[in-house]
Amino acid sequence: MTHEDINLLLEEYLDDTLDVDTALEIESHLSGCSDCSEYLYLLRVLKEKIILLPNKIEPETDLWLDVFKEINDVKKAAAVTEPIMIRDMGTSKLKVNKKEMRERERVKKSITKVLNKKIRTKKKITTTLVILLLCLTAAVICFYVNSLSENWEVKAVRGLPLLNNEKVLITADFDEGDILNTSTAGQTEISIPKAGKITASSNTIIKRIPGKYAVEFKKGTISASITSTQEKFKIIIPGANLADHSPGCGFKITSDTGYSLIEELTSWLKITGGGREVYLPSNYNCAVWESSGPGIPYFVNASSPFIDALQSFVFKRGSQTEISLIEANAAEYDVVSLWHLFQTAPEEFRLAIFNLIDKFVPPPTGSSQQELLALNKDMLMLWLKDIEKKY
Amino acid sequence: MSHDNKLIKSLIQNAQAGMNSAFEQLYKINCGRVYAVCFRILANKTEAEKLTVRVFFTAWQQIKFMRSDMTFSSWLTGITVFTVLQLIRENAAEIQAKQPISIKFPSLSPLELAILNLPRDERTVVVLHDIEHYTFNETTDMIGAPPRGVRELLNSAHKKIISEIDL
Repeated sequence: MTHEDINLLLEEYLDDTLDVDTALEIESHLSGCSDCSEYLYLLRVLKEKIILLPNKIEPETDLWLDVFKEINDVKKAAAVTEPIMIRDMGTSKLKVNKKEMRERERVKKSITKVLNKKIRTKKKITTTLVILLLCLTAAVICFYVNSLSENWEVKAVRGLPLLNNEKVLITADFDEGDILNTSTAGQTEISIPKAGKITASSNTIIKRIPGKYAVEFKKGTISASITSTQEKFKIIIPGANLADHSPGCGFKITSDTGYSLIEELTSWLKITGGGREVYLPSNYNCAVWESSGPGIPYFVNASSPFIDALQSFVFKRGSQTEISLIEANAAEYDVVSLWHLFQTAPEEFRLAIFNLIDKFVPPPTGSSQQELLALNKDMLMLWLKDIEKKY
Repeated sequence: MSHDNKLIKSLIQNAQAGMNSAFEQLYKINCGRVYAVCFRILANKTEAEKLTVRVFFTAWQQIKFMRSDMTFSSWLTGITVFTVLQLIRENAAEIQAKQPISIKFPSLSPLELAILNLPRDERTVVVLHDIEHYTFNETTDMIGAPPRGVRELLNSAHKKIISEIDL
């Protein structure tokens, strides 16, 4: 072999893929040829370097989308040409295609099932919403119609009351602005939808206030039973407004020129007037003056010395004497009176009244004496709640 | 497949069952390898990317017929080489890069650049024989040239590389 032939075979010699004779011949040549020996050395170094080249080179862009597109295109094309393919294929391939078709059909069915389920759920939700909406609309309409149809009514129980100076024989609507004068009639009832009932005695004058859920009681005697809640219905008397403080309150009012007496029979009544709020529990009375509003409520069976001392303290700008009398005569059931007195009394007497109330109902949890003496309204109302519970 | 690990085997089986996500995983594992072969032989990024896509598409088509005694990697390299060589035969004139390789790929190592700067046939032989470790006879068969011709190509390529880089 020539030098060139051997030079060409050095790659294979290095790979050890030559037969023994050729390899021996090359080795013999190498011992005398420095060019080939040097080249073989360089070739070995080069091969070692080539082995170190990275096995992978990542492309700069992700090519999967392109691959996936190609796959999808073929799938679509296969789907279109499938009938022809089936005809052209042998039995085995036909079986494969049938299997694939079955599989596809199965997937299609399951997708349809899921979709149908979704549609059904969607339909159900829509139907429920529509029903709810219809119910809501019906309820609103019913409420509106009801409120229109349920008129206030005056019923002559005994005698013939006058409604806007016209006699009511049996019943009549009590419209906004109407004035009822029971005159000599013995008993007249006013039915107020969703609010309750007022029974008026003779010589009573009541006016329905336009635009409000309220009546103005000018004079006479009425018994009211309020079934509404949250002060929805109001009775306006000279010097104060009356509303329920807790549901189901029943009370009697006797009113004459500039003065009214309210007798609470059941539950709690709220009286607002003269810049004050008075809470009247059952079996408590409260006087209301047209000029100054409600006074201090008192228990119907309170002792006379207690009531006298209370009146004296309020109207005669109280002194230590009255406070001492109140302290001496106050009983547990007078605590509501004391609570009201505590708020109206001059500052120097407040501590004494505070201690008196404390004897019967301790201040509420979380309140402080200082806050109560400073007449913190929230704290006072909490105290009243405790009193209500105990009462 | 017999020498593949459990993950690869599972991916192959799922891909054979038509699960694209399994084939995608196989793509992710082998993409760099396929692209390296394509890029080193073609010395052209765009063509290498196109060919990588074609190789994986072919693999997806043929995976059902993959022999169980082969590893996925060697099977895929076979498809890659076959596809590259086919492309070269079809578009021999168009593929050869006109610009010097070193300008286009400044980040590559001197050895890599020296290989990329070789004439296409020499480069192909170097990639197949030296980098992909096909034997001389296998390389000859793939190239479809007489053994002496392949020897000459390999010898010439090595000499050029040796003269080009500092060993």
